Amino acid sequence: MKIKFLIFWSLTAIFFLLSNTTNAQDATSILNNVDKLLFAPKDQQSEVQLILSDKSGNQRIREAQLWQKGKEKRLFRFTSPAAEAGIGFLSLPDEVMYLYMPAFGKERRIASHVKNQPFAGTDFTYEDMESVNYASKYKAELLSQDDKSWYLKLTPLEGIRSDYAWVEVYVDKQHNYPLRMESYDRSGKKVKSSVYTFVKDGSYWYPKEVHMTDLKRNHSTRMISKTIKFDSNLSDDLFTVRNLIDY
Amino acid sequence: MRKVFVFLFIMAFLADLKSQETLGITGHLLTDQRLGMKNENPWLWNENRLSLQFNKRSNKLRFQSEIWVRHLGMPQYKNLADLSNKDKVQPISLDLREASINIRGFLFEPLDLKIGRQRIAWGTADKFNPTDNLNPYDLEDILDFGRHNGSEAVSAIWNFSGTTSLQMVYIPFFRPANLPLAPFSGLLSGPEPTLEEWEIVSIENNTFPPKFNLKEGAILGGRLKSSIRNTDVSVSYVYGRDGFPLPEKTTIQVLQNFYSTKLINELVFPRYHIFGADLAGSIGSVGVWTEAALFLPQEEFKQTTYFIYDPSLNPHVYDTVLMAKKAFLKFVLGADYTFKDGSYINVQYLHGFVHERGNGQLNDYLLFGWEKRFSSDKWLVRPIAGGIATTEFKDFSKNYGLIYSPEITYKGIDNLEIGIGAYIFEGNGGNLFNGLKDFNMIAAKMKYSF
Repeated sequence: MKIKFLIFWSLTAIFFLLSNTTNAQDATSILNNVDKLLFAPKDQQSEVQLILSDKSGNQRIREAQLWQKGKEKRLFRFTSPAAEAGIGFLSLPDEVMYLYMPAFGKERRIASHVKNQPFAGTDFTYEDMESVNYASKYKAELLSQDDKSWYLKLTPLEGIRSDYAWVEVYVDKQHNYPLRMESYDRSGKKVKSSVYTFVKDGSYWYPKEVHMTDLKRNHSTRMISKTIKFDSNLSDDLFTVRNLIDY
Repeated sequence: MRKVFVFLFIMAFLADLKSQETLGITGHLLTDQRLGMKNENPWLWNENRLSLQFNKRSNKLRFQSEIWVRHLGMPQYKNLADLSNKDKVQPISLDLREASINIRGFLFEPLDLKIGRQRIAWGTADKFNPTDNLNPYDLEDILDFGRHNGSEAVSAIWNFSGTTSLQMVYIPFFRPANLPLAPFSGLLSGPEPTLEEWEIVSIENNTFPPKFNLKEGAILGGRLKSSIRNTDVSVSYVYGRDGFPLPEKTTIQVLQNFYSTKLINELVFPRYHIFGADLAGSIGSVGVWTEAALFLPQEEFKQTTYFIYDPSLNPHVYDTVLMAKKAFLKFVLGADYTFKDGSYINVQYLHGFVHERGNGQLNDYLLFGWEKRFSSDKWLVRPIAGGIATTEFKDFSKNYGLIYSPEITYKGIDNLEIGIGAYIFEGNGGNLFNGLKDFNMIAAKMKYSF
């Protein structure tokens, strides 16, 4: 009887262990598919509009240009309003980020304490602006699913510094793009929410609009892609400090 | 009138450029007013500035320029005839801050060549950069310590892969620092000289610039910049000159009444070899930086004094060593941190201010600021901002200076900033902040960018 009991519980444990592993593998492959979709183009360049809204509904508009190459190189530069034109942000592999403010005439490396701060008054933090492969930053866990979407919990991998304790993301089952993301701080409080509107251009899906809400500030930013161009063989030289400060 | 013609010419030239290809014109309108808190509240600063920035790109070339058109200071009319002179009643000044052409990938893809009047900003510290010695200081505004003028220069940067680059700079003509405008003009020149038993009735300070030739007038510099792990580092060298003059020869002439003297200084600008290094990175979540410059005078600097009791007799001559041929180090240690609530703190320890030089002559400064943004960044409040200066921490009470400069800025409308603040000084002894204690002031500023 005792042996049967032991065999039963061992099998049960193995079943749960296996099902969890399968679950983790599924979640990881879902996340890999998201990365595959997001970083499918070799490179992309776009003109974006940012609409900042405060809790009273007052809006401020910024325009910017965005260049992306591969998974880990991104350059973002404001073109308006005049007071912010030229402010540039460069994201490179290994969490290296630089900021350029034309008034100072030199670049500055972004220290880790700044990464959780809003980038130039928007609701995107420097961490949000960083170009990064989700699967290389987060461990994924499948929380639930329905007909249309998977619901994943993403926890930063060991050694990855993030201001978010975890991120919950809804992924479209048909196309593998994120529909909604919710970010939580270390006290378990939801601090950010972003809603994605993906459209297809040629063979690539891309986020036509990202609506990011900072729940603490009660402030939101809609980042709208006005134009986009894929695979124009952007030079690596574009993603250098040399280019960042050449404004 | 000539200035107006020059300005119209520049504008016509730029308008012509614009008609050929897109010329970007941006800039700002700034008014900066400061009012003394003592003695009938005099205006201590009146600046109304129109900054015009021009930018044009074509292929590998980039033209860049900035011009300031300003009403600075007070009207200078003293008699009736001056009222017919617009330069006295409505003084306007033109300041060509920068005008240069940058050629990207000149001859070789990694080489950038920039020629013309330009600002070459070196160093990673916040505003106080001991390694930033190519452009002369522009200290006309005593409270804008980090400002430099542009220099006519040739700068070549070789960009290696990643973040590594080597820059070489040649500046053919030395230009000294701009000293502060009245009423702050004497603050960086040190105390007025005194002579025991003699009254100095007049002082003449004549400056002798270096010869404008290849050897004496030029400034050379080089800087290697890179990053190691998560830290940006650079090392630099400058063969330059002190932007603040020292008296090489002083003539003291006793006047006929035998109790008073006339003092004539011949001021020159000493040569230095300046070795610099800086780094910026983070320790944990705290941003840190340090920057240091070792100044090695090219030669011992002596002041020769000629004391003339009677012009018919030989003068009494003696030498005083003002600066030994001994290196001195200026440095900055700094840290900053942004708290979860978005408030920001910045602290810097500075050894040696911009005008200080020589071993044993460098003061210590602790500068700090704490700021926070409110209402979706519409308001920026700096309730704690200022600094402490001392010659010797051990003897603090005898020689210290304090500055407190709180500020509130409204940024609720795009492109517009309106700020009010105050500058309060206190101290004892011969340091800079104590020298400002008669100039406590309130300040108001408006800036519109376009």
